[in-house]
Amino acid sequence: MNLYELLRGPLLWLSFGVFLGGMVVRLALFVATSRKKDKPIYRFWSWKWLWLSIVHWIVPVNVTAKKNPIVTIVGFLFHICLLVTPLFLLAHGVLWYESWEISWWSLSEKVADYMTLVAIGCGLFFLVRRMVAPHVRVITTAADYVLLAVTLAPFVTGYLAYHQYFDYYTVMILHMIFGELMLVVIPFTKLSHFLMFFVSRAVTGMEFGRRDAPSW
Amino acid sequence: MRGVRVLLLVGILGMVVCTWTLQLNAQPEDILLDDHSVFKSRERSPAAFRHMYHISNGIECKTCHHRFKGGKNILDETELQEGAEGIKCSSCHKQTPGFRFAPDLDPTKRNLQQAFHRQCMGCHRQVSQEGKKAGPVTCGECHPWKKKASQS
Repeated sequence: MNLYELLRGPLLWLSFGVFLGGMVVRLALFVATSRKKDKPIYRFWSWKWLWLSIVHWIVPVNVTAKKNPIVTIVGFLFHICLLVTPLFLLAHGVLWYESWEISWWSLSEKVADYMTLVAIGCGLFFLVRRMVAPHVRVITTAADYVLLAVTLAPFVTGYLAYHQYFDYYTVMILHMIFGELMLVVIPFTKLSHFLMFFVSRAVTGMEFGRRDAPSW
Repeated sequence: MRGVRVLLLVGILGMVVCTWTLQLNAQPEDILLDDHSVFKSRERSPAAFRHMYHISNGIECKTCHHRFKGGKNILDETELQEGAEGIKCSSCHKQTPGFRFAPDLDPTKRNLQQAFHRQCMGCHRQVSQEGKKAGPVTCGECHPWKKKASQS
């Protein structure tokens, strides 16, 4: 089995397994801990405050958006490009079809190309912000830089692969390695916020909500 | 009398070889897969299929060429002449699947792009998994960036 087949077959299964399994475990551990240590949450459970909190933070109608509009805009652009580009990339769609005979709508390659650049650009903004802004710098550790690199690596290599810069096959193999690496590290790092964000916002929303104070 | 028979046999054999060689030579060398009747707006440069390369490496015609009836490939290889009706992939594989070339034939399961991808990548991956040297499987190997500018 060559490297491509290894990365497309067993290692892809492994990375999706670790990613999905890891997130289920993360969520289960969170629920188990909260049942022991944060019983009021269940006593004052409120779907209304739960959803109000999530919605206010998933659309930019909150205190951060007002205080830091630039960070909000860059943050939203970053996350939209980060999620939408790989999911609706034509080339990825072809692979989904080849493997599972399932297909869905895809972006034009030109749009996806620009979105990749936007994701990289926004990532660089956050890198500089981490280094320059004192209130962010003080809570930054080496792991944050590594995580940013892990997040951006699939996009940088994806961009290079699409434009066929350098040795195409090598870049493509690197793209696959970095993509799978990102999936694997998600459950063990801050990147798990893609799911835990909803939990945090829900809990905070309900916690503030029972005091009739919006958390946004 | 024996000499005449030998001569006749050699003649027939010669004719068979000649016909086979001529037919082989009549096969196109490389085919640019850019059927404009189906690929109206393309995202990438068209793939160049090395037709003759596959033939000379012993790939049987019906490994790729097909006409399915009840899931069975009933294609008659003698029909495989350039310009013959229904010989191009796009005769059946259109922009959407489900086309029947003839009422008694199976409808297509894939559109033209899906059919090309499956034929090429599917086979290349299978050969590669058998541990043999195989053809390209990644996007850019078949759709080179440089040709994009020259596509019409």
